[in-house]
Amino acid sequence: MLRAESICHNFGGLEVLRDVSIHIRAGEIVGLIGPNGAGKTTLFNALSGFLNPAHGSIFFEGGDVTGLAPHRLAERGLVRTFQGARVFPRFTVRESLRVATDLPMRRNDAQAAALEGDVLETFGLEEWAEVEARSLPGGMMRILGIAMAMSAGAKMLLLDEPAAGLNDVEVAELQEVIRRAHSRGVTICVIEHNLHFLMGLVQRALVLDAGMLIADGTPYEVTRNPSVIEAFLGGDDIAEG
Amino acid sequence: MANATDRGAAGEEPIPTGRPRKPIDWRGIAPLSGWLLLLALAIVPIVVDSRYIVYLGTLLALQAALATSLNLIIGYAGQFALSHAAFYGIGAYASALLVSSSGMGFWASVPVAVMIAVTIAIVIGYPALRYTGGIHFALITFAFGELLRLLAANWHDLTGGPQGMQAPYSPEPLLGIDFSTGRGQYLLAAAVLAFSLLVVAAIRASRIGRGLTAIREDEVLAASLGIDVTRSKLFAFVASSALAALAGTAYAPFMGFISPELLNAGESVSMVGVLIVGGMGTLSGPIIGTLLFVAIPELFRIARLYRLVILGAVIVLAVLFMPDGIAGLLKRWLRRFGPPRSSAGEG
Repeated sequence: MLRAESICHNFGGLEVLRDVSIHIRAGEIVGLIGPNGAGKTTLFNALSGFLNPAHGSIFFEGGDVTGLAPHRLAERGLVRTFQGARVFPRFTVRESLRVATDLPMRRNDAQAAALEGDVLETFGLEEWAEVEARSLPGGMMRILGIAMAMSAGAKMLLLDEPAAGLNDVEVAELQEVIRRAHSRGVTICVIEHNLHFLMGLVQRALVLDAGMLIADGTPYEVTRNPSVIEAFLGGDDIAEG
Repeated sequence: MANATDRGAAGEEPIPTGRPRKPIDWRGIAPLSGWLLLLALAIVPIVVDSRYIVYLGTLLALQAALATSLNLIIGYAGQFALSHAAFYGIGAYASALLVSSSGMGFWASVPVAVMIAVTIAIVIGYPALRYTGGIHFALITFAFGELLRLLAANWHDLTGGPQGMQAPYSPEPLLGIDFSTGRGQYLLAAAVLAFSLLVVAAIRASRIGRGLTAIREDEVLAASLGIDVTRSKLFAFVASSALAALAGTAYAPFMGFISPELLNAGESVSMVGVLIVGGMGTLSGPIIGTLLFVAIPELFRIARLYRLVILGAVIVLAVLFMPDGIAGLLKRWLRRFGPPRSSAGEG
C-alpha cells in the first residue's frame, strides 16, 4: 500500500533520515517507534507530502507520489494527523467533519451528509456534534482529528502520537477508535512513544533511531531486540516513553 | 446513548413536538431584520428628495461594496490583501480610459475592466499566495498597490498624471434608468453592492467557502484534509479583486473625475480598519463598518480631516474590546439572550 525507498533528508547538515525504506501492506496496523529526535515525524512529513525528501521515492497504491503536495495525497486517500490536538478551533464537530467530507469534490451533498452521519456515529461524536472543537475534552479532540481524516476519505491513516498526554481512560477510547477505523478497511501507521499503547494494537512495529531503521517485527520481537533496547535506554524508558 | 441520539436528532428538526411554548428566537429574526434595515436604508436615497442624501447613499453603497468584497479575502480566507484600493483604481481607470479614449460604451467597458483586474490578480496573487503565513502576500499586495499608484501618477500621457483625469460620461440608459442623474448613479452603486453581497454569500455557502474558512482557521490542517490551499486562496483573491474593480467602474462616472489618490495604500489599510470594526468573516460586518466610518463623519461634517484620526481610535478600541467587531458583538448578545439552539448560523 505504502512503500518508501531509501528516504534521506537533512536539516542544515544534520542527517535526520538515513536511507529509510519501509513497506506497509494494505490492511495492516503498524507502529512507528523510536526515541525523541529519531526522525519519526520527519518521516511522516515526507510520507504525507509536507516535506520533500532530499533523496528517495515514495509509492502509494503502486503509484509514485514523491513530491506530491499534501492535498493531492489526501485526495488519493493518504491522510495524516498531527501531534497534539490539531483541530479547527472555532468549527463545531459537525462543521469540522463537513469541511473534511467536502473536500474530494467528487462527492455530492447527499453522499457527504450520509458519510458525516456515519462518522459521527462510528466515532461516538454524536453528542458533541454542535460543540466547538476548542471546547472538547482532550481525548475527544484527538478522536475528532482522526474522524476528520476518515471523513476526508482516508484509505490509509498516518497518526502522529495520538495518545500523547491522554489519561488511561482516554487512551483506551482512542485505541478503540483506531481499531474501529482499522475494521473499516483502513490501513494505519501510528507513531507512539508509549509501547503499552502499541502492544495491544499493532501487528508490526518499525523502530527508528537516529534517522535509521533499526528493527522491524512484531511488538514482542522488537522489544527483545538488543539494538532497540539500547536505543531506548539511551533516551527514553522503553515502557513509559 | 439514547440521550445522545435524541440530541443529535433535535439538531435536524427545528420544531420539537410537545414543547409547551416556544420562546422568541431572536437569532432567527436578527439576520432578517438586518436585511430589512439594509433594504430600508437602500430605499432612502430613492424616495428622499435631497441631492446630498443621494450622493452620500452612492458613496456608502460603493464603499460597502468594497468592504464586502475585501471581506472575502481577509474575513473568510484570512489573507491580508493590501491592494484593494489598487484594484478599485484599476477598474476606474480601465473603464474610464476605454470609454474616453477608445470610444467604447460604458457597459462594454465593464467586463473588459473586470477581466483586466482578474488577469492582474492572478499574476500577482499566484506567486504571493504559494507561501504559508501570509506575510509575503501582505507585503507583495502592498508594494503592488504603491507601484500602481506611482504608475498612475507618472504616466501623464495615459492617466493625466497626479492631477488625475476627467470621466465626463455616464452609463448609457438601461432598463429605462437614466444614469446621468444622481438617482441613476445611486441605483448603479446599489446594484454593485447587491451583486457583491450575493457573490460573497454564494461563495460563503459553497464548498469553496467552507474550505476558505478552514484555511483561515488552520492552513496546514486544511491541506492535510485535501484542500488545495493555494488554489482556494487565489480564487478568493481574484474574486475579491474583480469585485473591487467592478465598484471602480461605477465610481468613475459617479465622481466624473479620478486621480491616483484613489489607489492610495492608505485607503486599502483603512478598508481593513472598516472590516476590523464591523466584523470580519460576517456578511453584515462590512456594511456596519462602512456606515460607521463613512456615514457618521460625513453626516457630522467632521469629514475627511479627522476621519483617519477617528478611524485609528475606533480600530484600537475595537481590537481591545470587541475582537470580533460589531457584528461579532451583536452575535454574542443574540446568543446570550436568545434560546439555546443547536447550530449557530453566521450572520
